[in-house]
Amino acid sequence: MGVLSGKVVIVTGATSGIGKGCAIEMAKAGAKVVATGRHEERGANTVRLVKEVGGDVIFVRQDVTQEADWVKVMDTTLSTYGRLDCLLNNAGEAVVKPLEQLTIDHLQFLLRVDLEGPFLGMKHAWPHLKKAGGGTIMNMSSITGQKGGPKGSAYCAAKGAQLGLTRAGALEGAPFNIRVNSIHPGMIWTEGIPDVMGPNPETYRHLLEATVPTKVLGETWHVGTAAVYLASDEAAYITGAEFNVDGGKSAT
Amino acid sequence: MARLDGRIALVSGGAGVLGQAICARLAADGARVAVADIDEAKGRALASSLGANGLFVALDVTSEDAWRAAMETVTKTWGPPDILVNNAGYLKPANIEQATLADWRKTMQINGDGTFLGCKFAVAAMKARPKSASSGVIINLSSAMGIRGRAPHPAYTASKAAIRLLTQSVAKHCAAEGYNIRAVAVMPGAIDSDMLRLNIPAGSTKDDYYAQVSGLNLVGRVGKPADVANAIAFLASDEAGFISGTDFPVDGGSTV
Repeated sequence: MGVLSGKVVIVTGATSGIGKGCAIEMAKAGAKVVATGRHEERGANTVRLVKEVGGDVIFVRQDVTQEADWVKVMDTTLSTYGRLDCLLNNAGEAVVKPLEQLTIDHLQFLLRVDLEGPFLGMKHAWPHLKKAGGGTIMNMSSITGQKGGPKGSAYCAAKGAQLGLTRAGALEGAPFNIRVNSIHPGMIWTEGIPDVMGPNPETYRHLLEATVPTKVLGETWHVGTAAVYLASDEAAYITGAEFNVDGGKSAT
Repeated sequence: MARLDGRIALVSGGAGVLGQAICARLAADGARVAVADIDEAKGRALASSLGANGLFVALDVTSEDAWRAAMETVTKTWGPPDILVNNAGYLKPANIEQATLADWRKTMQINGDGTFLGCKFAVAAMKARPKSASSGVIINLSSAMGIRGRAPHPAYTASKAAIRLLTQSVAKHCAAEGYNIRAVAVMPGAIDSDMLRLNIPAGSTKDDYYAQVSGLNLVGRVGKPADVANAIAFLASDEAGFISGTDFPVDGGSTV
C-alpha cells in the first residue's frame, strides 16, 4: 500500500526524462497514472516501463499548449479512472542561447510551453480537484527559475513567470484544499540532455558534474520521489512552496 | 523493508512534543533512534517506548562536552549516527524593547551554538562514509521565522536565519570536501507544540490563538508535529538523495 494508493495523477511530458521518472515513481507509490506527451511511440515506452513496476497507467497524446488537448486529457482521465487528485505540470522546453541570439519567437515558444501549458493544466484540473474535495498541483520549474542563469533569458523568464502562477494558485486553491507547489530540479541526467548540449555526452558529462556541489548528476527518480512526497497526504501542510532537488546547486 | 532500516539517528530535543513525533516517525521507518534531551525523565520514557530501537542520551546542546559524550554513547551502543536532527530549540517571546541581552544570548546559545555543535560532531562522525553508502544526513530545524521577521521574536528569528545559512555552509563544505553528507534546513510554520503555546497572548485562550494562527496560512490549520516528522523522514531517506543545501518548507503556505 503506497502513499499514493487510490490517487489519480496526470503527468505531462511523461514520454521522456524527468516526466517519465516521475510517472514511474508515482506508479510505484500506488497512483493510477495518466501519462501525456506528444510522441505516441515514446508514450508507449513509458507505459511499458510503468507496467513493469506493476503500475496502472494510460497514455494520452497531448500538446500542452493546445486547450482542446487538455479537454481531451481531462475527459479521458475521468472516463478511465473516475476522478483526479493530482496534476504534475512537467512538460517543458528549454532554449539555451546568448541573449543576442535569442529571438522573440524563442521567448514566445517557451512562454507557450512552460507558462501557458501549466496555466491551461491548472485551469482544466481545477474543477475536478474541487469536486474531489481537494488535490495537489505541482509545477516543474528549475533552479534557474529562481536564480537566473547565463544563456537562459527566455527560459528563466518563462520559469520565473510560472512561479507566480504557482504562488497565485496556492493562494486561490487554499479554500478548496488544493495544494500547489513547485519543484526545482538542478542538473538531472536525462536522455534529452544531448538535444541541448550536443551528441557525445561522454565529452561533457564531467563538465556538468563539476557544476554540482556534490559532483553528482541527479537521476530522474530523484525528482520522482520528491513528487511522490509532495503529492501524498504526508505533505498535507505544504503549499505555495518551492522544493529544490539539485544536489546543493542552488546554495552556490 | 522500511526506508530507514539499519540507520542510526540522533534527535536533539527528542523528548519535546515535536521531538517525540520525529523520533517516533524515524523509528517507524526502521531507524534506531537516540533520544537526546536535557529532560531525562521524558527522554527515558520515550526511548523505552521505542524498545530495542530507542536509546536515551543526556544532551545539553550548548555544551561541547555533552555532545562529545552523547555521540560516544551512540557510537559505542550502535555505531556512528547516520542521521542527525538538530531539533532542540528555545523561544521566549520578547520584542526588541522587552528582550534582555541575556534573552538574546540564551536564544543564540541553544538555537545557534546547539546547531553549530551538532553539525560539527555530525560531520566528524559521518565524513568517512563511503560514496557507495547512503548519505549521512544533517537536518536542521530552522523556521518560517528564519525567512520573515516577527515583532515579538527578534532573537528567535535571527537565530533561525542563522541556522538556515549555517546549513547551506555545511552542505557546501561537505560537497567541496567530497564527503557523502547532505544537509537540509526544514522550515516549519506554526506547529502545535510547547513552543507555539508560549505565544498565546495574555488574556487569550489557546483556541482563540490557534484560530488566529490558522488564518495566517493557506491550509487553514495549525501544523501537526507529524507534518514536520513526515518531511524529516523523507529527507533522511535515500528518496531525497539529491536534496542538499536547501530550505524545505512545512508551513501551510504561510510564507507565500
